[in-house]
Amino acid sequence: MIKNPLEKLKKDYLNIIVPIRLKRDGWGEISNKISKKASPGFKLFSKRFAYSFSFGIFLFAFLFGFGSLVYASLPQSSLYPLKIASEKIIKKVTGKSDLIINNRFNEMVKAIENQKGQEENLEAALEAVKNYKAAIEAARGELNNKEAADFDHRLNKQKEEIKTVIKGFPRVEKELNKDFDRTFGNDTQSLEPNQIKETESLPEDTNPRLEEVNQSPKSTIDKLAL
Amino acid sequence: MNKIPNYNELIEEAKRGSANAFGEIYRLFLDRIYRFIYSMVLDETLAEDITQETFLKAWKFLPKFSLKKGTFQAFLYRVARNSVIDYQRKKKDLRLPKESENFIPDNINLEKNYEDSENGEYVLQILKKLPKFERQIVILRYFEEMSHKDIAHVVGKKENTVRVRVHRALRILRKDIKKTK
Repeated sequence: MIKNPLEKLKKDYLNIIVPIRLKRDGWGEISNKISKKASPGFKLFSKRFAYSFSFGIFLFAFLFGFGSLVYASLPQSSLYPLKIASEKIIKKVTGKSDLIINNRFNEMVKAIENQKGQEENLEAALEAVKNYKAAIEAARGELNNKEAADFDHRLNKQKEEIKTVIKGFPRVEKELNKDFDRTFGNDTQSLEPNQIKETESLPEDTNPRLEEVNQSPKSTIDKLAL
Repeated sequence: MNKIPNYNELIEEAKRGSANAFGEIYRLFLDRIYRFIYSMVLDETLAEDITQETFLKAWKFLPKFSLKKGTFQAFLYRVARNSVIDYQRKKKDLRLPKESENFIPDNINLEKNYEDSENGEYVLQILKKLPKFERQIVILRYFEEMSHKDIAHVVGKKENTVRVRVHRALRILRKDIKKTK
């Protein structure tokens, strides 16, 4: 009973005509899209590559930005411990303390410069001075004779810079002078230029330590006198 | 009438990346796929777009197609069906199905058209009365002459379920045709 009506429906169904536009241009459109998309394998590769590349760029930018922030951090900032930790790793790998001393010196200069005009809030600068001195002391213990000469030379250069930076910061100057000898490898008491002169005027036999200093032309004692 | 020549070689060539072979497949199946999609969405422009989308997707998924999983026509109809479903899902907010169902003018005289309908208006009016799933099954089984197994693959159901649903669809159809006579 249903057979004939179904035949009729089928005939009717087959009368549904595909639009001429689709018949004429359909394959052309598909063909263009297919050629633009290239092969499925290549597409998959480029998509993956694009994602990986974007992620790589993002990761690099993030790490670079974060690294710069860590490197620029000063004492008392939250990123500072990371900076110290990374320096320890670098020191273990390279075996050199140059980076640490230079960083401490730069931090000290930056911390002091940041406080210009607001001398009452010098905690970061004072801590930077302490750290700088501690770094010098630590490095000095690890040097051989040749390295010590280079070390002193670098220290002298830094001293010249410090002189100009700490002008107008008596508290910083005081902190820098504290335990100066221990830090800079000399037992001479004073760092003030006038006090050094007094010391120089004493007879040599009354001041054996000064004798040692004079015998060592590369000593930092006279150069570091602030 | 609907028989398609042996196209296995074309499929293999197309799988290897031959656009020309796929072009032949396109020409072989265009009418059938368009009719199937048109009878689902009942909108000429929409049917054109979804037909094109179907062939693009078929090209994309062709490397994954294997004759072990079923016939190529089952694969192609499955892509077409999924494309329609995807489209309707995307346009759900626009209430596309309701709009589409209104595509056929209500003033068509079914009794008159039973004898002399043009461009499938009568069959579409009858099919419209069937639930969507049954509509697909009737088209695939009786108009496209596909096996129950292939239909099961297209609609993603078990073969037995398809058989039962075909009978149910026929019952509904019988009633509707009686009414229009």
